[in-house]
Amino acid sequence: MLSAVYREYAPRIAGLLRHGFSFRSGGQPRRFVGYASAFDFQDALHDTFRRAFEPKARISYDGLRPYGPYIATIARNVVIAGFRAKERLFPAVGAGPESVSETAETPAHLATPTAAAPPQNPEAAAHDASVRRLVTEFLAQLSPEDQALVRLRYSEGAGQQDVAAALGVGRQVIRTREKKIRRALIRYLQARGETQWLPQDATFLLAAAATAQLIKGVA
Amino acid sequence: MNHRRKLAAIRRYVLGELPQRRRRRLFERMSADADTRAHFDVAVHGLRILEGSDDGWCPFELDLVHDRLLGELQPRANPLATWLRRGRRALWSGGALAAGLAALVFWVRTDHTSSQFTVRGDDASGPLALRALCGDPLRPAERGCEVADTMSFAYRVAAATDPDRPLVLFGLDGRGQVLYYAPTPDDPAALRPESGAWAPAQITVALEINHRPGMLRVFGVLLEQGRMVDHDDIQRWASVLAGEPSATSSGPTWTTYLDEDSNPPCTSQRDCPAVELGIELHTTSGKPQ
Repeated sequence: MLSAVYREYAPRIAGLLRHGFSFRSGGQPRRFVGYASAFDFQDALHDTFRRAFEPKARISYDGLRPYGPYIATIARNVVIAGFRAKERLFPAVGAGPESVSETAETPAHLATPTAAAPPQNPEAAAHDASVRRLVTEFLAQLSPEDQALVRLRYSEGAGQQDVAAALGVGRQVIRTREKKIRRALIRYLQARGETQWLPQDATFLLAAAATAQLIKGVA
Repeated sequence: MNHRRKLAAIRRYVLGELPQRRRRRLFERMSADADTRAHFDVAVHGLRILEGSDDGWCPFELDLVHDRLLGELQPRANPLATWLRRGRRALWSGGALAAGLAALVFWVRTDHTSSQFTVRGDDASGPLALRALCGDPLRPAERGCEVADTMSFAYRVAAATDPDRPLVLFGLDGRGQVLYYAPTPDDPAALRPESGAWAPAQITVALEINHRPGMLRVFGVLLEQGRMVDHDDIQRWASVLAGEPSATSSGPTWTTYLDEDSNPPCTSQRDCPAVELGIELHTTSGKPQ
């Protein structure tokens, strides 16, 4: 049952956590720009459903309100609580109302995710470009068969069964090859030490900057 | 967790292969260590690009969170019921233990030579030696064991070996089924061997519960100090070993077949004492079936 609830609502909550949302706090309109870090994103998604599935939360849900906005409110609280914790580590400097003094006052805003993709600072954009370049390099050195699989599966969005039929192999072969490609890609990225491209101090500053930008005023 | 192992854990988690218990350790590590987090982020980012995600996230990420979430919510199995089902480990009663120890001490002091029984690992001069016994009273397993028997083990760890290295034991039958001896799914503790003398592994396996007639391969390894493995690791090793030939007295040890993705027991083959036994299990009539 919990699994079915998760399957039903997780994509929507994932959209909120990844792309951000608007809300009011301390009387000010604010905007959460979405998690850039996959770890933060998945952790917040996990925390949202963990809280939603706790006995207390399940009892407090009255069954009358739509469940989507209810769980979106939990997601919002996860985000704001996370920001508060980080705010203590990275206090705001200079202009900009980065502090969050109150929880959201208008949960209805949560129903509408904002931008299609989180805005990127220059460092994040450069990092994204760097990973894209490595993925392109990786794809170029795949065998023609694996390249065909990647094209059919991911560029054309074909299902495993259709790809198997197109390539004249069994579905299990496709599953195995797909997993092998994914594993090889991660190895490829790890071998090139992509996370090391920034010096340690710069990484720290980037983390601080990203945190400061996590929630910013839109007024 | 060294750097290589950290990267392997991230890889396995992202691919949905990391056991639940090790997942928790990885999350703790990622929460505390920006470098580990960054490696994880890049791995996921790369897969998002590969899969051409338009949403900014990929379905596999939702699956990872689903498994993590549901894994945490699953109730723990009833240990007694699970033992009865699996029959992996039973502690001896006091009397049986004393008798077993006496038989064991007598047996291990006797010279045993049988290349048929032990394929690699009865060299008592090596860093780790292992022998199997079965029946009541205990007898050497050179001539095989009946499925109706119980089976136990004796081991010897060289005196010069680090005394804090845990010993892992597991079996693999001809159908590829893994048999857990230590640790087991219900008891995550590996054995804590004493160095310098033969000693009984204080476990008894009731063979008839989950062992089948035929050749049983038994594997043992001394982990590095402070290292822990669980039944998922053993399952992974066993799936690799099922496709590899049994060891020979002069051939490579089984640990050399494990790549880093299988979370091998040692970081270095040069310091990875491992043994492998071959035991014929047969029915009461003496036929392996």
